[in-house]
Amino acid sequence: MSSYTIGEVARQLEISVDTLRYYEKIGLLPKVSRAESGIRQYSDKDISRLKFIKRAQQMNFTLAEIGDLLKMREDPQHVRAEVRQLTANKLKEVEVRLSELGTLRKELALLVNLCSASDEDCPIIDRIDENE
Amino acid sequence: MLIIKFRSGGLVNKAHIDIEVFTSSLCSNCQRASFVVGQLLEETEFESVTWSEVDVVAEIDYAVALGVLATPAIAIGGELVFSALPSKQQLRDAIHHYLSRRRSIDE
Repeated sequence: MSSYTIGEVARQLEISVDTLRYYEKIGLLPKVSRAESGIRQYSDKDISRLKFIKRAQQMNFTLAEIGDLLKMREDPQHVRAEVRQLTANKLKEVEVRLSELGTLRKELALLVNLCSASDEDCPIIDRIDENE
Repeated sequence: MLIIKFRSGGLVNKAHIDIEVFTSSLCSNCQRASFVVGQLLEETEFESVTWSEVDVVAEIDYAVALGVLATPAIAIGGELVFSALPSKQQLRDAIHHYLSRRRSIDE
């Protein structure tokens, strides 16, 4: 099993070392194991958990909500009913966001395709800007 | 709404269908697409078919909802059917296909 220093994790996940320490302090991340020298050694499981935290934060979930979702992630069969409900609600939020992103993606693809016909600046995007 | 309506002739009846040609000012093939549609609908077998041009920039939400990702594109009865300029025969076949589907639903 691989282990990573806090600096490696910070670089890999683009999360500051202070934030990594903070997640551990508030219990979002279980106590990270330490080498004999005292240096934190993050495991693959820690990395997976941190990636989940980062994704959930990008969806604007609060740290408290993320904490509950992590409980669900660890042990889905034994969580409280409220946590199950929260997870279902968050699933709906993610699905709505996905649908919005899908529409945005198509809209941008259409604009890029329209503009590929023009060698210069894109007059279509200029017109849309003017209308706003 | 920047939609220009054309009717190929005759009264709109139960079998009426609408063809939408999605265009943009930068699209070199768009005029050709409108020409092909207009010319085909002059034929008597399609007298119940109307068609319109939809400017994708003015109607971007509608175009995206239908799945238009490039111009020209053609929708028949509110469904995107062509994402590029079709031949006259391809368009004729598509309209016939749509009409036969409509008939089987109505029956």
